[in-house]
Amino acid sequence: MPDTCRIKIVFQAPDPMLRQRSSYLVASSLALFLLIFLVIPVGKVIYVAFQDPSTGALTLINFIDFFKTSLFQESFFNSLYVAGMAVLIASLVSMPLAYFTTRFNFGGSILIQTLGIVPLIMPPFVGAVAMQLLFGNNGSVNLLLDQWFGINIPFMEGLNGVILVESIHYFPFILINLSASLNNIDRSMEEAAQNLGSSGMRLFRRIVLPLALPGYLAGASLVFLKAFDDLGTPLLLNVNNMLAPQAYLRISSIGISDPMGYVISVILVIFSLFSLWASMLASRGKDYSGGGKGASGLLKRDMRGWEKAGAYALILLILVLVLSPHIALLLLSFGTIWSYSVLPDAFTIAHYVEVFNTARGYITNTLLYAGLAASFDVAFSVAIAYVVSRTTVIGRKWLDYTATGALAIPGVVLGIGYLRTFNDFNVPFIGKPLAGWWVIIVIALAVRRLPYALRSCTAALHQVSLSLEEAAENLGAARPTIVRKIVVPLMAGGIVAGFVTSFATAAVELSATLMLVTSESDAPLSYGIYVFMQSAAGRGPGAALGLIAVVVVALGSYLAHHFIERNKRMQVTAPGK
Amino acid sequence: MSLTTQVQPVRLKIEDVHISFGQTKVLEGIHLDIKPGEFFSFLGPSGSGKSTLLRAIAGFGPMPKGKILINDEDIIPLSPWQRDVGMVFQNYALWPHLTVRKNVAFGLEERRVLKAEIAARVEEALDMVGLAHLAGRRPSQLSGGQQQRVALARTIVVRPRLLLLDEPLSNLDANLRVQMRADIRKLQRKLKLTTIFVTHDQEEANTISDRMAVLDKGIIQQVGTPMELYDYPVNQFVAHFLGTTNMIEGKVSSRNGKIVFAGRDGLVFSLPSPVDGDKGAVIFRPQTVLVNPESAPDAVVRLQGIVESLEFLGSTVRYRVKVKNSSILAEENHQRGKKIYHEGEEVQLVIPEKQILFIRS
Amino acid sequence: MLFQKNHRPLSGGLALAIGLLACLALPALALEKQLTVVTSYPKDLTIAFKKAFEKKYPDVKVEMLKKKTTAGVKYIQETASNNNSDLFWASAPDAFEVLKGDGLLQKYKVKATGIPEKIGSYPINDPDGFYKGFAGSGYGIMWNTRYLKAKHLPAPREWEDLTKAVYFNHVGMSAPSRSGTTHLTVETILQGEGWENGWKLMKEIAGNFNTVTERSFGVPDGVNSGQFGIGIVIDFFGLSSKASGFPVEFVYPTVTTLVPANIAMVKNAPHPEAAAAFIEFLLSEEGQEMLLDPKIMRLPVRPDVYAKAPKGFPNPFVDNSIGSKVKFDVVKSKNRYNLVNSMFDVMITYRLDDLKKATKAVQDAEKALAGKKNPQAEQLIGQARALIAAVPIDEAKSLDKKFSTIFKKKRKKATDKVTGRQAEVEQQWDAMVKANYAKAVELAHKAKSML
Repeated sequence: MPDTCRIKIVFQAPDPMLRQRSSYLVASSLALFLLIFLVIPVGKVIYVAFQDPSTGALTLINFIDFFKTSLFQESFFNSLYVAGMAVLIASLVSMPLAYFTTRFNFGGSILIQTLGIVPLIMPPFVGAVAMQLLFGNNGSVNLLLDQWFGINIPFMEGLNGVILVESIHYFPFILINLSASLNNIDRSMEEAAQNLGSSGMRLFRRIVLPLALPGYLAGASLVFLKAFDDLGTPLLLNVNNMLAPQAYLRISSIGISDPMGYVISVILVIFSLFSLWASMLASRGKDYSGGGKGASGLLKRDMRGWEKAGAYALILLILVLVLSPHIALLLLSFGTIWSYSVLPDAFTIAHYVEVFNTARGYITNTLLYAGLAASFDVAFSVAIAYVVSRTTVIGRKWLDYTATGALAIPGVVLGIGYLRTFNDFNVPFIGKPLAGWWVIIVIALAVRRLPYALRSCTAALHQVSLSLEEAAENLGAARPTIVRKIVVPLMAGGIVAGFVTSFATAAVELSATLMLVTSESDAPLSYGIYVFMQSAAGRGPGAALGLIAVVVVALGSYLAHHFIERNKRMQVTAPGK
Repeated sequence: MSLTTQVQPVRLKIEDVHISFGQTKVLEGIHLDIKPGEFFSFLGPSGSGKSTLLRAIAGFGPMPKGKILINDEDIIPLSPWQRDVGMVFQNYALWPHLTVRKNVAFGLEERRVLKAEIAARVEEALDMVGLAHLAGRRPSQLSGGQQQRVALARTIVVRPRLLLLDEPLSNLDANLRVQMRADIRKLQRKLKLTTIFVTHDQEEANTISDRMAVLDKGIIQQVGTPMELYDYPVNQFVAHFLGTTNMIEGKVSSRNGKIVFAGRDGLVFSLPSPVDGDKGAVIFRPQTVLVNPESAPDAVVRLQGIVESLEFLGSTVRYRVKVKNSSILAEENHQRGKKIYHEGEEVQLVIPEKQILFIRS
Repeated sequence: MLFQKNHRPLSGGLALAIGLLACLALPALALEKQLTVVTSYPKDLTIAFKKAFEKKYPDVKVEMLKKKTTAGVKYIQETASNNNSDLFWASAPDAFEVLKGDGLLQKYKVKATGIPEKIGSYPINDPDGFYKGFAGSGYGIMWNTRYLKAKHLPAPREWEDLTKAVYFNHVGMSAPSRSGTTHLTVETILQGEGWENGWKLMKEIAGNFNTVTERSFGVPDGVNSGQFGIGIVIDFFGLSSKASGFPVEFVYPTVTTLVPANIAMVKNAPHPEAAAAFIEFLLSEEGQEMLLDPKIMRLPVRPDVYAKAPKGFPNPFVDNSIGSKVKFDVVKSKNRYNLVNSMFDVMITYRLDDLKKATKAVQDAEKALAGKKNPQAEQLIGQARALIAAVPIDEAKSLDKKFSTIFKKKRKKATDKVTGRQAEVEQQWDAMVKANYAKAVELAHKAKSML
C-alpha cells in the first residue's frame, strides 16, 4: 500500500510548468472576455470624445470645450456635491444601524440585516414616482405638513431630491461594509482600550472608528461612485445640471453627433476610476480584520428596557425612511387613483390581476437573465480572484482592475458600445446579430455587476488560508481539483453574497438593457415597468410589477442568505470540537 | 512621577465569586487572598475558568456574583475603565492603526496627563522593555516578542493598581518564552506591582509565581507556593496537572498495627503516618523511584517488575515498568556510562516511604 | 425561439437549462412570418393593434419594440448595418425626417383610399412618400382639477394664460430635445408667433415652469400625481389620463397645430410584406376605428370614422378651430431642428432656476406696480422683460444652413468641413443668457424698490 501511495503522489503532483501554463490559459481567456465585452465596446464609444467633430482627427479640443463651458463646470460641481452629500447622509443612516447590529444582542439586528438590503432593489421609474407621491412638493408628507402646520419642505426639489433618493438607495453599501468590518474587529482591541481607562464616545472615536475605517471607506467610495455616475435618479427627477444626465441627454438626442456626451462619459469614467483608486490607496495596508482566533467582533451586550425601546424606535424610523419608496410603491400598486392626496382614493387588486395576465414573461425573463448573469459573475469572480491572489501570471492585477473598472462605466455607454460592436456579428445558427440576441442582455448585466461579485469573492478568498490548499496539494490533488473541492466550498459565503448582490441589482438594472432589448418577448422586468409607466393607465400595473420585482428579488436574496448561513453552520459543526 | 516611584502595592481579595454564562456555571465559590506585591498565577487547563476569573477582575465578561476587593474596595460595581487595573491580552491587542508610541501613550492620554509627561513616561516605559528605538513603528512591523513587550509597556505605563497577564507567553516560541518570563518577573519586582498571571503551563507557573491557584471545572482546587502544590497536592487533579506522577488507587487498612494501602491489583504500600479516610490513591513522583539501587533508605516499598519501555529525555531516563497489572514510571538522572535497563529486563523498584503521599478521593 | 411566448411559465434552474439548450439547439425557427415594429407608443395602443392585426393575419407574429422616439431613432441608426426592424411607428414627423435624411426609410405607396391630403393645415403624408400619417394629434393644456382647486387657480385656456403670475411654479413641460412631439409644439409656437415673439412667449411660459421633464410622458405623469398642476401635453396624454380616471382636464388652445402621427417602413426591412399589411391595416376603417378607444384617443385621418366617435370627441375635419391657424413649414422645422432643441435647452432647460428667479422678480415688481403710476419703474420692468426674452440669434441665422450644420453634422466623410463646434456656440449662448437673467433680476429689484 505505501508504495502505491507514493506512486500516486508522483503522478498527480502538479507539474510546475503545466500549472504555469494552465494559469496563463485561464488568465488569458478571462482577459479576452473582458477585452471583447468591456474594453472594445467602451473604447468604441468614448473614442468619439477624442475626435475633432469637424475633421475626425484625434484631438483634445473637446475636453478643452468641456472645461470652458460653464454649464459643464456647474454640472461637474453639482455631481460632486450630490455624491458627497449622498455619502454623508448614507453614512448617517447606516452608522446607527451598523452600530446596533454589531454592538447589541437583540431582535432588531435581524430586521436590519433582512431589510437593510432591500433599498438596493429599487425598480427603475416607479421608485422615483413613488418618492414624488410621498415626499414631492404636493406629496403625502407635504400635504399633511401643509394641513397641520402650513409648511412645505422641499425634500424633492432639485438636487435635494437626487441626494435623498440616492442616499437611501445606496446606503446599504456602507451598511454592509461597515457592519462587516465592525464584526471583524477583535474584541480585545476594545477591551484593551477600556482597560486603559477609555470608554463611550472617546473609545468609539479613537479605537473602533479607525479600525472600521477601511470597511467604511470601501462602502463610502461605492456610494460616492454610484451617486456620481447615477443617471436614472436625476433624470426621473428632471434634474439636468449634473454630469451623468448631461452625458445621457447628449448621447441619446435625435440624430446629433455632439461629442460632448462622450467627453462627459470619459470624464465620468476617469473620475470614477480615480475615486476607486483613491479609496484603494486610502485603505492600503490597513486591513485590520482580525482573522485570528480572537476575531470575535465587538462586545455585544443585552439592552435594558428603555434602551431597547429607544433603539427600536430609531431603527424603525430609519427603516421607514429608507423603505419609503417601497411603501409608496405598495400603496401605488394597490391604489386606484392617487392624485394630489395623502393616500390613494381607493384600493384594488386589479393591477396585479393585469400584471399576472399580461406580464409574466417579464418576470421569468428577469429571473433567467439575472440568474445567468449572477452565476456567470461568481464563476468569473472566483477565477479572477484566484488568478490574482494565487498565481504568478504577469499582469494579473490588471484583470482585477479592468473588471472592477466596469463599475465606472455608465450603462448607456456599455449599451451603445454593444450595439456598435456586435450588431454586425451574426450568431451562428440563430441568424440574428449578437447585439439583438437576448444573450447580449445577460452579458451586459454580467459585465455591469461583475465588480460586486468580484469584491465579495476576493474578500472570501483572502480568508481561505493558503495552508489549506497546500495541504490538499501535498496530498496529491491537482489545481482544478483543489479549486473545486477545497477553495470554492470554503468561499461559499462570499460567493453566495456576491451572487445575491449581483442578482438583486441586475434584476432591476435598466440603463444598459433599455438599449439592448430588441423584442418585447425577450425583455426583462425593468423594461416592462418602463413600458407600463409610459401610459396613464399603466401606473398601477407598473407599480405592481415593480413590487413583484422587489419581492421576488428579496425572497431570492433571503433564500440565498439562509442557504449560506446553514452551510456555514454545517461547516462549523462538522469537524467536531 | 517615574514608573519606579515607590507606591504601596495593593491587596486583592476575592470573596465567594460565582460567574455564569447564561445557564452555564463557569466559576463557583471562588475565594482568594492575594497579598500586596505578590506574583500570583492562575493555573489550569483550558476551560477551567482561569481566564474568566482574570477578565472578571478587569471587568470583562458577565457580571459576577460575590465580591472582588482591592484594598477592601469592591470593584465589581465599577466599569472596566474605572478600575485602574492593567491587563495584557493573550493576543496583545495592539491597535494596528496606531504607532508603538501612540499605543503606549493611549492610557495616559485617556487620563489627561500633560503632554510633556506623557512623552517622558512613554519613553521610560519603552526603555524598560527595551523598545525605545521602535517607537515610530506600527505593530504589524514588529515581531511577536516585540509586540508582547509593547503590550506590557502600554499596560504598565499608566501605573495600574494590578497587573493582569492573560497567557501572555503562549504565542511565543520556546526560547523567547523563557527569556520573556524572566523579564516579566524582573519588571514586576522592580515595579512592585501585585500581579496575576494566567497560564496553562505548569512549568511557567512554577518558575514565575510566588503563589498560585490551580483551577479546574470552575473551582479552585488548591492554592499555595509552587513547591507546596507539587509536593503536597490535595487531589488527583492537582497531582497530575503539576507534573508526571505515579498513582495507584485503592484502600487503606490497618495490618499488624501498621497502616497499609492496598492497591487495586495487589500492590501494597505501607504508609508512613496515619491518614484521613480510607478510599483514595497513593501518588509518588517518578524521580523518587529508584531502579535496582545499590543501597536504599530504611523505610521503603519494594516492587518487582519488568521494563516495558524506556524514554531518553536528556537529563533523565524514564522507565515504564510493569508491576503486576500496573505500569509504574521511574526516572533516573542520566550521566555518561550509567547502566541502562532494556525492554524485558527484570528490575527492582524501590520507593522511599516518605515520598508516598495518600490522597483521599 | 423559446421566449417569444409571453405567458410561458418557467421556473428556476429548469428554465435556465431549457433556455440554454433551446437557444443552442433551435436554429432559426423564425422563418415563419414575423413583424418587428419599433414604436414610441404606449402599451394601450400597441397591444390593441398587435392583437387585432394578429387576429386578422394569424400567421404573423408581431413584435412591438417600445423605445422612446429619440432612442428609437438612435436604435435604427445604430443597427442599420444589420437591420432587424420592419416599421418605425411614432408621432413626431421630425424623427421620420431624420431617418429619411439618413436614408434609413423605405418608400411605400399606400393602397387604401379615402384619406384626405391634410389634417388641419398639416399635410398628412410625407410628400416624398417615405412616411404616412395614420392619426392626428394636437398639443394642448392639461391640468389637475384637485390641484387647481386646492391652490385656488383658474383653469387656463390659451398659451398666453400660462404666462400669468398666478401660475408661477405650477406648469410642467418636456424639453424638445427629449420629445419629438414637444419639439413640434415649440416649433409651432415659433412659426405661429414669429421667431422673436415665439421665444418671448415660450420663455414667459417657461418662467412659470415647475420642471422640465426628461420624458414627454413625465408631464402627464406629473399632472396626474399632482406634482405640478398644469402640463403642456399632446392631446392623447391628456385624454387618456382622463379616461383612466385621473382628476384631469384637457383643452386645445386656439393656436395649435394638428400633426399626423406616422408610420414608415425601415430600409431593408426583413419582412416587407407583413410591414405593408400592417400599414394598410392601420389605415383601413377597421384600424382607424380603434383609435377612438378612450385609452388610445388619437384623431383618425379618415373623416368618415368620426361618425362612430363618442360624443364630444374633437373632429378636426369639422371644427376648424383645431389646428388650422398655423401653416406649419416642415422644411423650416427640419433645417433648424437641432438648433432649436439646443437653444431651448441652453435658455430654458439648463438655466431654469435662473429663468425662474428672473421671472419671479419681474412678476413681483409688476404686482407692486399694479394700479400705480411710475414710468421709471415701468421702464425698468420692460427692460427686464426684454432681457429675459432676448435670444442670441435671429431667425435668419437660425435658418442659415452653414450655421445650423454645427448642430447636426454627421461627420460621414473626413472631407466634411464645418467651422465652429456646438459646445463652443452653446457656451457663448449660455454666457449671454445667464448674464441677461441676472441683469433682469437686478432691474426688477430696482424697479420694485422704487414702488
